[in-house]
Amino acid sequence: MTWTELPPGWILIAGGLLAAVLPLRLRQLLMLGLPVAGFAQLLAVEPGNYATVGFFGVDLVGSRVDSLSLIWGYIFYIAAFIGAVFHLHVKDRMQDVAAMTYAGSAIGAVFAGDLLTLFVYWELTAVTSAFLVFASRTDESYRAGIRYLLVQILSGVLLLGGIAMHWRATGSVAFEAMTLDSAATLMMFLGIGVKCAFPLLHNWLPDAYPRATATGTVFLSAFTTKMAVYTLARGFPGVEELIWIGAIMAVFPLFWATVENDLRRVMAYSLQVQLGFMVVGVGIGTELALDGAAAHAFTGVLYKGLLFMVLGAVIYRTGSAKASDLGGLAKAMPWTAALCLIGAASISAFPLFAGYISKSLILTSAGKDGYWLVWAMLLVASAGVFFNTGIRIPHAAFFAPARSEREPVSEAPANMIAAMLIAAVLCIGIGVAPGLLYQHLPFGSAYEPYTAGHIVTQLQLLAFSALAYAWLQRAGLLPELQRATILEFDWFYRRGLQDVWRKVIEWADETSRALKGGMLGWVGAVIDTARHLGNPQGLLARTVTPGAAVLWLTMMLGLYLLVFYA
Amino acid sequence: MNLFRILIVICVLLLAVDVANLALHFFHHHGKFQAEALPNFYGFFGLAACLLLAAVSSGLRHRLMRGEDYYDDDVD
Repeated sequence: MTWTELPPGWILIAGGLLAAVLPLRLRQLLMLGLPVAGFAQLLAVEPGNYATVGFFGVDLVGSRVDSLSLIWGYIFYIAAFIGAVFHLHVKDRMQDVAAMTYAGSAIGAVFAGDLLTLFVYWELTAVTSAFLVFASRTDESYRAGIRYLLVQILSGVLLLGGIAMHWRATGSVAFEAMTLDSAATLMMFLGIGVKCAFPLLHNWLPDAYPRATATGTVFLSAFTTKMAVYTLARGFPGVEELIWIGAIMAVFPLFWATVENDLRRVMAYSLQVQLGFMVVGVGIGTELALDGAAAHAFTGVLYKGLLFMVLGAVIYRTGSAKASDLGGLAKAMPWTAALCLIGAASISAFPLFAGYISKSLILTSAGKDGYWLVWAMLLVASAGVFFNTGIRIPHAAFFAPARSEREPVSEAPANMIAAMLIAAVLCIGIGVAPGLLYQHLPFGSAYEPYTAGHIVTQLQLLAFSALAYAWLQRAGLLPELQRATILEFDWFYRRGLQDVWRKVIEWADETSRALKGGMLGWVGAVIDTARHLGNPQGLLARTVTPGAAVLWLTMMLGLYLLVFYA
Repeated sequence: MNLFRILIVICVLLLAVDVANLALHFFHHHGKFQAEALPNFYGFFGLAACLLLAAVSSGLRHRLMRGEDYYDDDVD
């Protein structure tokens, strides 16, 4: 076995464990060097199955390298490297270890060749990533981290339960395409759905991501959800339910993103919108659509990473990513502002930027297969994301007048700028020369995004969406931004269930009190009667004469004879 | 000329391109649905979607907005 046949991901996990004992300089070197080494390994390795082990009659495949896993592997190593550059100034051993082992586990999951191996990495990502939330070291982030961890572990439990049932039924843990025809696959599907932020299973995402550290969110945004999309693409391609789940996912977070004040939460919602596009692609399941999902995952990691980095830099300098605290930063942070515009153009799918060349594949697939409603919903999502993310984030943070007094700030540190620059260059590079990405797609779809018709229609969509924003802004009709909590579905378990539980306790209390009152009454009545009958003057305690006693006995005997022998 | 005017000019130009294309056919829309044949369909669709989005979400905000520390007592 040569080094290229080691399961990808181990290199980062081992490095992460080593980082727990190394001094700062060596840790930084590891964080920068290991993603490069890992990427080199992927370039060197031949497609195939490696590290296969028989384990109590179960065939485990530690590493499956094929065109589907490779594209995710590439982008995860790129994300790990960009994240490491962005994170370079941070002196926090816990975050170094967490970030590296987290990236490594996500990469391991993507190359896992069987369900059990997948499960192990699945849980590792949950545990390691939670520390990026805890690392903010505030009471708020601690509680959000615990909620996050609970949901992530629940996802793993569902997955494991499904795997166990699947193994009992089929005798195999091979990780191949499945359908929703049994309870086992349905459980796995839901487990994956939690990490993929399916509607109603998604609240961990906008809850935890805005509370992680400035650099931690950059790592978080890249791995967990995209790993889930890969798992769907591998395990449930062409499952029609996914089309509708994805379409709903692409639309409903828009409403919350539009009124949210915390810009990192706005980003979390628009991340979910982008996931919706990928899920639709997986659900349609044609080669073009699956290539679209893979391409959109690839570009999404880049431009969402870029925007989370921009907000990370803003937090690093101003201490806040809330729109109500920001504004007017363009002069003080011109580089960050310019890079923000590139990220915004990419997520909004401007021609010549990364989002355009990947989103087109999915929209075209939806149109081709005649899903007109899904197509229309995705179009709403395209307009909406430009409206509430592409325009609003740069506007609120950099170009609108400052909304609060603050100390003068300076440009983001050099390592942050460098990381954002790498992501921005890749966004533009892929946008300008889409062939660079298309040739690595799993099915190598031939697609030409730059036709005159397509460019014009996309520009129309964007220009008129911008017109809507500008007009609403001038008319003062955009929601006024202020610090607030906008309730979401997690209200049901963070508040609603507690209220129900409190009520249940109250009712139980009252009922038991009433019951107790009733019982005491009965017991009291029995005691009173006994006392009444048995006291010295009572009926049962009176002394009687022998004659009267004989009379009573005779009467009882007579009654007895009458009843039984008559 | 401010940004808003520039934007309006761009929108008008994009609309004009599509209307002219109706007569001249200098490029071809690869539309999958009939609605796409309407001039500037994508533009009007985007405009309507964004206005609807703003309207629905401000209604939503009105109903669902609570104080920033709404959940702060959920520790116990």
